[in-house]
Amino acid sequence: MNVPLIAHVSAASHLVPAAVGLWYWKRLSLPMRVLVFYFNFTVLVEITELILALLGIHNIFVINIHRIVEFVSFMYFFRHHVHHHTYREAMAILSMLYIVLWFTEVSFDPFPKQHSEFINTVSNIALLIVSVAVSFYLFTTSQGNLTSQSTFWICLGAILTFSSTVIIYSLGNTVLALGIEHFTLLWHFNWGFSIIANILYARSFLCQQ
Amino acid sequence: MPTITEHPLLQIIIISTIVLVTLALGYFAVIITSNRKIIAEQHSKIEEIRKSEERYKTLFENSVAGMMKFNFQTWAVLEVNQTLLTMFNCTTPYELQRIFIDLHFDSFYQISKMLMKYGTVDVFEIPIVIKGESPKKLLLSARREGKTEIAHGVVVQVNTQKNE
Repeated sequence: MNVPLIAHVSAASHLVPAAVGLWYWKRLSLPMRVLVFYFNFTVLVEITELILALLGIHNIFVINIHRIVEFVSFMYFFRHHVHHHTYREAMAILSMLYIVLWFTEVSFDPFPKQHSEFINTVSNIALLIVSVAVSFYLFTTSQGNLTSQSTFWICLGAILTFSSTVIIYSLGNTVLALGIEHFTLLWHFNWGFSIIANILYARSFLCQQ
Repeated sequence: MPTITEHPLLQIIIISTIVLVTLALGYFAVIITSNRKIIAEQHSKIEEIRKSEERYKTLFENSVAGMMKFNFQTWAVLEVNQTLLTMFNCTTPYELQRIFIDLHFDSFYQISKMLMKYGTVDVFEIPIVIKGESPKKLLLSARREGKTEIAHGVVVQVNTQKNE
């Protein structure tokens, strides 16, 4: 199968936030460092996926591991940037629930041959809702310019990523049943928006706040 | 490569994704616009305060009446204009403070009491005798700053010799 150019660009774009994050590592707060860890982990996952695909091994289990790391990292980051008790409690409960669901789903089939629509959809919806809530919280509590705050850029990137892929993820296997070409066509959304999101994530590391 | 028109499911997914992304970006556009509007309003208010402060400063420095900001419990002079310093023949706020403390304790006690109770003092007469100078009569009006011990006062000198 011919891999489109945008897929290569998208894979390479994951290096941008990872590298920028490492560059500014010393002056970053702990939640931001957690995100740097996640972006570097994503780069490793991309490489692993590529190697496994070339070896003809199913790499869905790697995607599942990436999913839980993504969820926990973003939740940790968002929770540290919100000081409202209700928001924080809701995020903690949501995280615990998701971890339990993830372990339950994965324990039934640790090496699946199909995307887990359930894990992906729940994670995307939860992160989308939390990103919207955190950006609203930021807007209502912030005194200064929002664009000078790292949380704003992370929220924007997260909202863009999760809103663009939530429907595709939830119907991924149905589309895959129509043919890999159809899936690839839809996946252009994911590639395109992940390039933009990675630039937005990298932008967040340039903020002083 | 298939086209999006090939299957209705693809069309539904693409259209709903576009709608969702548009909503998300619209939400952010609203947030950014509102934030900029709030910041612009804050800047305009700060500018207004700065101008008002400048006007007050000009008035304070060029007033023909003596003006001061003081603590009405300790009679510490915090700010004073040149007119009031000249009126008492002194050069620094501290010197003026010393004069206030040394002279007419009773009058100052009454002023403190009135400021504490009513928050204002209107045209309070203070007879003052400074060594080597003829007796003076001052009229003080003051207003307390909120619930603090700070007050802003205006002092004018009355020529007592004419009356006598």
